[in-house]
Amino acid sequence: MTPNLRTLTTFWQTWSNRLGFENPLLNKELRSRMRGRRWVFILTLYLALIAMAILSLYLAFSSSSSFYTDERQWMGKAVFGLVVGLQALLVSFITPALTATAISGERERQTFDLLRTTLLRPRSIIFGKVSSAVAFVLLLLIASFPMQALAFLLGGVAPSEFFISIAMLLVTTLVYASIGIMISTFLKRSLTAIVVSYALILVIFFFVPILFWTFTGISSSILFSTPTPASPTREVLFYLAIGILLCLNPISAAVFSEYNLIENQRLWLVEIPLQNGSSVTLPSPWWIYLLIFSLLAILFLYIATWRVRRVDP
Amino acid sequence: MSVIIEIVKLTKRYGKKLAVNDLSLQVETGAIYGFVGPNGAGKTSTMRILCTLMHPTTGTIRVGGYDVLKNPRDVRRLVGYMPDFFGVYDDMTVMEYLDFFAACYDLPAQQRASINTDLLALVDLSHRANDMVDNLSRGMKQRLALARTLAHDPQVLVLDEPASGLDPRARVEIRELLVELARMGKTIFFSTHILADVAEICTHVGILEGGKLVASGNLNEMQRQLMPQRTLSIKLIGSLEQAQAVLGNIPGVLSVIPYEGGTTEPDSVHLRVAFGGTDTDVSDILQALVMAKLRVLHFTEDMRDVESIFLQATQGKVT
Ligand SMILES: Nc1ncnc2c1ncn2[C@@H]1O[C@H](COP(=O)(O)OP(=O)(O)OP(=O)(O)O)[C@@H](O)[C@H]1O
Ligand SMILES: [Mg+2]
Repeated sequence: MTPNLRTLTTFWQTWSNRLGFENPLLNKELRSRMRGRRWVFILTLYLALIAMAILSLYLAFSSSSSFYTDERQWMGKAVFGLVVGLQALLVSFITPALTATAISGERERQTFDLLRTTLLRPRSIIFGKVSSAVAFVLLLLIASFPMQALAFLLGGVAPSEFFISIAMLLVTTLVYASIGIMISTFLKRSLTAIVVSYALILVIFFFVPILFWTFTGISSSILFSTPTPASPTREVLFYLAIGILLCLNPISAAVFSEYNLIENQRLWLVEIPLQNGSSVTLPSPWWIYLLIFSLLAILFLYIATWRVRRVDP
Repeated sequence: MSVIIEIVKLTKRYGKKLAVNDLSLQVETGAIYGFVGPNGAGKTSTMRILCTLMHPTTGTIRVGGYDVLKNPRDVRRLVGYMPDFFGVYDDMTVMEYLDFFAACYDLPAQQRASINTDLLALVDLSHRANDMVDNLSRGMKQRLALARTLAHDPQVLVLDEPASGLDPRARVEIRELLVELARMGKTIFFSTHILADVAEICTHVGILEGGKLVASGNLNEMQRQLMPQRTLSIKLIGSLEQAQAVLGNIPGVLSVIPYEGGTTEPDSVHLRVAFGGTDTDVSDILQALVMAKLRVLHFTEDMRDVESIFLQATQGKVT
């Protein structure tokens, strides 16, 4: 597999150069990462983990099972969910560490000043660092596709579910990567940059939703404690708040979207019945999640670029 | 001669600390300009501003007519900067390292290959092209760093202590390289503590102290400015009193000091004569001694070395 990836890297370098969008930093990072043996170790460990998880799931349920379609479909869903969960775990663990060391590492090696005196643009520095990290994570994700395909063999999983999972994983990777690199431009030491990046990720993905939940929790108590039927406006506002809450975290967004897909066969929209018999239609959380967090990633990347462009005062 | 680097009323403060104080100087195209001064004089600060890594507090620098504040990218194109440290990527070969920086200057891959080969040959590292950068010796790293600054064929080289930490041979090699580069038409602006280097290769010198330029210009002019007197070292056989009497009568002789130590012969006398005069006057002194029947063993003029110029110019202020 190693030689093939090297060929791929060389191919990429040749063509990006020929077409005029060569990024020296990206090429360098790709080459050094492929040269090291560490990534082979990470890849093997990660694939072994997924294989073991699927195997234990299979052993746990195959004893009771005959091959009824229902049961097989359930099994397919379980395998799919398991693999996506492990992919998400991998993304969360690896991505921030990959980019949080990007700029602080250059500072520690004293190469940052060298880069800044060249004609390499700040946005190319950020793009090179982030895209090499994302490419590496993407490689790991793709490597787990064959095992994920087992779910399709068993049935019960639609292609749309697969594409949504990939889109959400990629956007999440991008957000992690951009948080990492942004923090990296502020801090001098790589180790602190990694710790602070994970902390900021926890804040964004868990602390903010909890704050939001506390806020809507109050509004729901107002809504349901009133003896008279609540006004439709207040009810809609309440569902809207819940909806936003679901979009703030990838797990809740994914779980609710999946539920909506299974129960109501709706991919893009959610229809919620109101107390007065009418109903309100809201967007499904998964694509709102994609939207919000893509924008957030762009914001972080923008801040990082601004930090790199800044000349010492 | 046209001016390529123009430092204009440059001031740099770090908080309250004044690092560069209203510094103005000009470097001519093709010059080898030695920037000397005690530790903390502000040399690195000036160079970092020149290389667009840092903003000045007030004032500015122009390189080839481009202002570091207004046209930093044009300045970067003209300048090759070698800082006083060596930035290593530990997982790269020498060739890859050079190629990476060449690519950062937007050179297309086809050109890079031949340029890199030439540069490695120039700094005499061709045989190490496929070694890891990390494994090079200090002198080799320094030469590689020099090659790196040349990747985009800049007109100006800004080198911060290029010879620090090198053994005498490596220092001489770097020195020869600089001369070679100057011959290729590059302007070299470099800082150093090694005054022998300055004496050997510089066409121009600037002495900085406490962020201020205390002396500058052509090395010979500076010698004349700062040290109008010459020193003669004379050894002869005969009596000290007679020699002093003869020398004392010659106009232009400022002082005659017997020199202690070093002599083993019982009859010989060693003198140091401070003197202000022309070359003809110097030969007249010798003639006077011979006429007085004093047996001259040794008669030379002490080199007015850069070291003493440096000490004369700087006051040893603590910065
Ligand atoms: N980042 C900084 N923050 C605060 N003070 C600084 C900083 N960099 C330099 N200085 C101070 O500015 C003054 C000039 O420093 P600079 O490094 O320019 O001197 P130098 O001439 O290069 O000295 P050396 O010969 O030791 O390299 C020093 O007093 C130094 O302490
Ligand atoms: Mg310095």
